[in-house]
Amino acid sequence: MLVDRMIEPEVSGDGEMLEEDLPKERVIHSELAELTKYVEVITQTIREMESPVTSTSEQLPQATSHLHDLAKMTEDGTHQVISLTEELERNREVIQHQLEQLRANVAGRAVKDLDAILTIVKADEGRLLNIHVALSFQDLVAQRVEKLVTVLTEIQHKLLKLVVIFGIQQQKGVAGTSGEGRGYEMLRQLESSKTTALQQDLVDSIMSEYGMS
Amino acid sequence: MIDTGIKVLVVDDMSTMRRIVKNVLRQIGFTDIMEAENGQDALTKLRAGGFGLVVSDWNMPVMQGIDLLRAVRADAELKTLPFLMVTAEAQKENLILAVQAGVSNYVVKPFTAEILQGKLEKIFGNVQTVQT
Repeated sequence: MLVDRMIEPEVSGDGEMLEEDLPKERVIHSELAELTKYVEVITQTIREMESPVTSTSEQLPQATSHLHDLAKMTEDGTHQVISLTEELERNREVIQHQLEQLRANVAGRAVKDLDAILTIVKADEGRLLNIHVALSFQDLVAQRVEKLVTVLTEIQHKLLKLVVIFGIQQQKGVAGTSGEGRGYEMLRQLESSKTTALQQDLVDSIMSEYGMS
Repeated sequence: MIDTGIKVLVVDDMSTMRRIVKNVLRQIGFTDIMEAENGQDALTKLRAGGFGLVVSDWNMPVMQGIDLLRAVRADAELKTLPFLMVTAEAQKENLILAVQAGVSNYVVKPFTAEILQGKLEKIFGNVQTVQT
């Protein structure tokens, strides 16, 4: 064993070990042997970690790419829904206009019937507008995704550093290692955004404290 | 009373949000609506003149909404321009920063059309009160 080779017992000038040094030397030898075993176990554990750590650090860019795709897909989908809603709104306006013209030229029960239809058509204006507004979720999703991407990038850097520090493998072109701690900061922001984000009524309350209604 | 004849600048780096805010503003009655992708782009357009309202996001590349607000308030020509912040950045510290910088009002995403309209009515109500 490495320790056996390195630790030679202390000997006197004529090559004889002093008798009083023997117990102390045995204790040190025994402790070093235990320490060596411990280091060997750690080394073995690190070797066993090689595959999962390397695999995880290699999968993270893929996860980041998926998240970017997700943001892009929600953006494209949102634009599509907005376009369709705009078409519906244009049609609704035409229908409303034509119904109003028709109403001006009829009498009796037809007026009541047309009024009932107009009420429904006008109510759809608000519903279509609410569809537009509800789509603002996409902006929130995109912002969260961006924060997640930053966190994942930071984790990837940390894993790669771990790999390099323990000599599991040669570093494979770690891109952009600057901004240490930024991922944690973004994670903190992500977490805090879930817990401390203000609701509109609270915003209004704070604004009113500043004399703004 | 909202003067829907004024020119409005919608500032947001997300094209979807610009489109959504524009549609809501159109529904309220505004017809002259322009867009900017970030604070710097917005400032250039605002300095060209003619705008009566800014509706801006907070988180944007190049120049953030809060920096745009400060630049607007520091500009002699633009300092009284109504400025509505529409943002997901709704932490108390940010709200206080915006108030200190002179924001006219603050809407949290996701918002409803009624909230946006209500805020605009308050902004223009206040502007009218100040002017009269």
